[in-house]
Amino acid sequence: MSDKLGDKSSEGALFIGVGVELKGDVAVPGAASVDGRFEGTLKAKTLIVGQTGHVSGQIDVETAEIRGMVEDHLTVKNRLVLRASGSLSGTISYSKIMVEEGGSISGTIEMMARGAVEAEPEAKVVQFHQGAD
Amino acid sequence: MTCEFSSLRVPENEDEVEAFDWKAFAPAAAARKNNFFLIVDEATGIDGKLVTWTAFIHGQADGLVFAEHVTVEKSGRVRGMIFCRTLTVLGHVAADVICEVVHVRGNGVLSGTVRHKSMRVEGDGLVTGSFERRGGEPAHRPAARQQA
Repeated sequence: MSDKLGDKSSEGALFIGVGVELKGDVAVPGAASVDGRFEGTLKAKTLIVGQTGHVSGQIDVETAEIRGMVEDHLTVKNRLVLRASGSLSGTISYSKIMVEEGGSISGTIEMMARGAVEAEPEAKVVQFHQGAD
Repeated sequence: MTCEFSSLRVPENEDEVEAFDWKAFAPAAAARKNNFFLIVDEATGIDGKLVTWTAFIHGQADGLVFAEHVTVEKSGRVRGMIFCRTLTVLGHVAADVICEVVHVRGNGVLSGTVRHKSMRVEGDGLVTGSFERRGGEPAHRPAARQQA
């Protein structure tokens, strides 16, 4: 896995182990790995939620890989990966998404603009021209 | 085979959706036996109600698509409502969707209100809108939640 925590040794990382509960506002320059429970505001480069992990609150990250549960507001500026055991609910914003079969999504999903490279997502979705002319 | 398509209606609530019997779905009976399927080609547009067993949509469908299996191909566009068992999206769908399995592939775009049992998004697929997992709690629940 390219975003293993070990690859991020130069950046500050946060580990929340099984059985650990943390509430509050946290900013993590590198990866946040949650196998326990987190509730609050989290900003990080990478969020990794293990199968036993439960994250709720306002989450703002670059990339996320979810095997556990994430609730409330999740913003992933780059790539969101929801594994088969994962569950997402609430308001989810992403730039790229991958959902494995079995992964659960409930709530509102929005796509963020993919920068200047891609056209506006709304335009892709809403405009259905027959191309008659 | 004759079929009263006009009497077919989309189930309104979750109980009705759950109780809907695809085995008794009239268009499926003959189609399964003879491997019939429907292709809406790129040059074809449908406005209204499309009822079939299996549909491959390369063109455009506005209105209701009512079928057991629906594939919206790369060039396909569906706007309105889809009631089906399995939905595969490689093209564009802007619709209210009620189904069991959703699979967004390639550069598929799915937006709208989606009630599903299982969903898979791969490649550069896009999903936006309101998503609800049918049948209550997710199949896989993290251990942490179970312990709580």
